[in-house]
Amino acid sequence: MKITGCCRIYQNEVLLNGKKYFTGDNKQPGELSMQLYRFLKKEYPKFYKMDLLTKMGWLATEMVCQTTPEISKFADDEIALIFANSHSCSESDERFNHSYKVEKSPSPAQFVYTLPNILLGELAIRNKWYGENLFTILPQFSAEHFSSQAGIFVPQKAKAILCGWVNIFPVIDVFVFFAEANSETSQGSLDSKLIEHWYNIIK
Amino acid sequence: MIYIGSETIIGPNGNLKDCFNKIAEKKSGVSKITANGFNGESFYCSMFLENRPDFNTLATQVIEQLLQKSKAKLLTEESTLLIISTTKGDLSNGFENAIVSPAKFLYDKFKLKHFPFIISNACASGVMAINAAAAFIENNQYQNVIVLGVDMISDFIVYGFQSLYAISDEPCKPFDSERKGINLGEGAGAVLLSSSKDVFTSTPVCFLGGSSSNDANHISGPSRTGEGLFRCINKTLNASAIKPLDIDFISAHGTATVFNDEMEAIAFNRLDMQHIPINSFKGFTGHTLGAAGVIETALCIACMHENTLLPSAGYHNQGTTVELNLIKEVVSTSLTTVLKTASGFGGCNASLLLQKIR
Repeated sequence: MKITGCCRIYQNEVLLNGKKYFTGDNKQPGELSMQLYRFLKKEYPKFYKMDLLTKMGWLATEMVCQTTPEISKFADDEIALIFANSHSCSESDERFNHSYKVEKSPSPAQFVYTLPNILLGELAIRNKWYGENLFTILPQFSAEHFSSQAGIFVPQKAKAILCGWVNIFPVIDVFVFFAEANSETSQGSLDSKLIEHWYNIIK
Repeated sequence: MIYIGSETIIGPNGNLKDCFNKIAEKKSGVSKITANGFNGESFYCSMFLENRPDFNTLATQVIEQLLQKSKAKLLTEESTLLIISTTKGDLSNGFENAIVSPAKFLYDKFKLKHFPFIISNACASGVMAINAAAAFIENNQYQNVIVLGVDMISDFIVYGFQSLYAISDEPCKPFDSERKGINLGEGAGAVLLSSSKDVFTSTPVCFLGGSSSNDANHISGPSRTGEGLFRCINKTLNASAIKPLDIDFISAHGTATVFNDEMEAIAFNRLDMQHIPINSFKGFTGHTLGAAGVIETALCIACMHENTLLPSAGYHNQGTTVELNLIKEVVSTSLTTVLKTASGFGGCNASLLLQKIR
């Protein structure tokens, strides 16, 4: 399989297909997610209600879609979403916990984001993707995990995969890539070294 | 061929045998918890009322029970993987480590060869975990995969579902016209999947196929058309070369919320499955979230071995716009092929098909 588009975000740096694309400015108002949203000139009102985990995964996916026109050739159920991180949705968990312990009013808007796969739901809604979903929790980033899942999903369950590592704690550490078969006749495996290379491009 | 068996559960209704027998007698694990809601409301749920185990103890006990029904030393083999299915993990470790900590505990405790693979995909986690286990075996990455589902009731979960007005103030009634919402539950379930029949000490069944789909519609509400579940079941049928007519029993998700049960009824009708006997176990076990798919699959396998259809709690009158064939009483009948489904927040749906060994 080949990686046809990838977005790497680490702290304030955003790289698209390995090239510097955007740098967040600590002196500017708003966190990286809002700066990036404005930079990309997206108009998607649902973005504002998302938690940070979902915002970061959503933004990285938007950029990968933007740079990978091949994605649109796949049918609405042919792309599997294979995402992972190491802290689930702990930031939203803290927020919801705060809403009932401190604010004395459990917030339903925050509670719905206390599941990490809500990110996959938002990506599915945005892109009308009805395919396979998998959200796993790993102790740390693992290129082998994505390589192994690529082999499991393609071609049996999907024709292509959108993979994502979306951590926002303790720092923003996001990597989203799109991978598809080498050609219609030859699928080939997805080399974990290739995944590792694109992930380690900033660190 | 992929086999699934060594099914086991531990919940407020006891082990698998106890739970099966109690459901057959229509005795529910759901009880009234007084003055424990956010505003001191009483609510119904299925909770351990005495000797409540913590997450790690419960996980350990259910794995040990599974091992009693499988070949010794299986757990520590190089070719064995443990998959954990949970939504919230063990919140006593703090939110950051709630999910990885228990996995680390089990990894150390049982001296596993591989760090557990953890799936957290809302209420579809359990079915997705079993499907992932089968996929690992199919791709020759592992020969044996133990799937463990565990979730515990906490203030966090209770207040969250209360804030969504999703909790019923009476025992839940899946698919009934008077249904008012869910009863939460806690517990653990485990099953073993293997490429070899020999690792089981009792007869397993076959795992035919499974899949997942997203509704692409709403993050906390089910699709009005049942699109994701419809697509998902279709994929599972195709992968298994099974037709709706071949299915003897459906174990539905059936949370007893107005919208979920309606969505499922629409999807099953679109698939021409409205005549197949169907139930929801949640009136007996409560909704055990990330553990539900594993616990309910274990109950399905028990039903297949006993050739018994178990009733759905609290069902009296059709409560969905389209018909379903809800099981009201215990029925003895030959059960060969069984469909298990699950749906959850984030628009996720998962399904799998089981069949007795011919």
